[in-house]
Amino acid sequence: MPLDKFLQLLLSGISLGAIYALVALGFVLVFKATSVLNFAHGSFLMLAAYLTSTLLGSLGLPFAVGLLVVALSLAVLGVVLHYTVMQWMVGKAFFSVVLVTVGMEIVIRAVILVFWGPLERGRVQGLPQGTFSVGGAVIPYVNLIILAAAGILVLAFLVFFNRSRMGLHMRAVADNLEAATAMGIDRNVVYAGAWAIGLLLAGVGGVLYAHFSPSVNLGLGVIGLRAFPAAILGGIDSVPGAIVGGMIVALVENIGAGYLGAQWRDVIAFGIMFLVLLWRPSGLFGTKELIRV
Amino acid sequence: MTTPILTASDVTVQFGGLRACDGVGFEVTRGELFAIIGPNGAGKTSVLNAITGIYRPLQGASIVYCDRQGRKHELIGMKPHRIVRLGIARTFQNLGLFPHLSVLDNLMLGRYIHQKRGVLSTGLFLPAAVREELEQRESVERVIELLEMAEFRWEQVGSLPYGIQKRIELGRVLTMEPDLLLLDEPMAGMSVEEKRDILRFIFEIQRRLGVTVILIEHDMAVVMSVAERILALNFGRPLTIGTPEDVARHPEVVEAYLGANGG
Repeated sequence: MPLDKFLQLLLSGISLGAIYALVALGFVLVFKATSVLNFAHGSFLMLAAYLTSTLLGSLGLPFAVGLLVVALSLAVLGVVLHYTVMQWMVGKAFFSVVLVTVGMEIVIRAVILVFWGPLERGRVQGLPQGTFSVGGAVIPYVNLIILAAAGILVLAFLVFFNRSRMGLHMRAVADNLEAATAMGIDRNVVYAGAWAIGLLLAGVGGVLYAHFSPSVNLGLGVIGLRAFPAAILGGIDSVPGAIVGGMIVALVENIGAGYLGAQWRDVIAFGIMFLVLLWRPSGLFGTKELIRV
Repeated sequence: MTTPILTASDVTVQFGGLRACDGVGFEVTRGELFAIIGPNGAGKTSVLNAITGIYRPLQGASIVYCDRQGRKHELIGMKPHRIVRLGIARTFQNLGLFPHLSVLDNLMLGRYIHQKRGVLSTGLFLPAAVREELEQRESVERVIELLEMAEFRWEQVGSLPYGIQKRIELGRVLTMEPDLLLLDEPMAGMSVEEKRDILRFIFEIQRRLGVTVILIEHDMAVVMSVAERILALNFGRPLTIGTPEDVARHPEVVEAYLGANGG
């Protein structure tokens, strides 16, 4: 029945959307707090997925432990990245900074190639594998757990961003850097924190996606770059926009690809981005005229 | 004679071939209202930016700050956010607020220099950190009451009228409880009535709370009526330092001002 198929695509799209939301959130946070458009964001997701396939797949660590290890590793990587590389790019031309992140992407891809080789690895099975059916649609338990894990993390992030002192400092630096400095805020600490949280979110996205995707391979970077259409649809400097944008892109893409064929997946996702850029460049929730210095 | 709170000597700030200020030196006594005056482009803000660490003066300059415990700190070469945490607050010529944050968040940020708990303990909402946060919140609430802003504490600052925003910026100075306050032309573009309000505020904070104030202003009349001592600059060079009466009589000051205004 056609309605069954639609329901199936809708429900699996929601789980995918939860992952996209996480990834877009990390991307938007880094952009908002540090003004860096991070083209390497996708490769961090990919790196996390490979780490997951080793820790959970090959070494057989429990899901929760593996998730924690990967998330913390990525957060630490974010801090290291800021103090070794990005710190020196603060105040440089926007375009130079973007190119540094493009270079970073290439380096990470090479590192993965060196350590894991070019062959794709199977789907990670660190979660209960059964399925259940809802109104004719068959849903793997994995999807449910992914949705729950991503949902919890998004909520935790929102509490952190809106209620904690570090979150307040991030919002302050994003709003008026000069005034933030005059309040005694060390921008480097805030930047390092934004990178840590941004990569942590991409990292968790990678762990979850490694359980969702049929395989872990070098094409996963494109999934991480779903942060672009998701963030642009939501409004590139908007936190709620990243969440809503991630969900919409995943649903449209999943349902569209279900009917048109999997080869349309990327076309649909990035097609949404082009349309938004043409008709409503500030997205659903973004600042109308975004001027970054 | 107490040790001065701030001792600057030989401060020269250079941009390419232009000397924004040149060999400026002065001492500010704890508790006084010290003013720096001069026509537009005289280098007043450059001196302020040298104190706050935004500009780095040329070799040979020294700016020593003496904190409440009597410890001395050389400010040159220190990171701007560190200087703030010594108890030195500033306001901006244009507003230095966070337009997309609420009134409450704007004021809470002023408390940061008094917050000792680290990122980790506040991030994990540990009891000591929560207690500190609540104490800070109380002192912010007192300021909100004082400013009569209870009804818009959750409003985005950027959506409020300019006059109220200026009041919030000054209110934030109260939450910061600084030892030394640098005011960069706080009355620029204001009506006579608003100027009077600001002046009253400056008096309050200096007399009642014992905060040392350095006021930067190009309106001579305003400065003459409030400052205890004045440093006059012109084209980056110091003309004279003294009481308002002395400075007003100084021939070069008269010339700089009359020349600029009347010529």
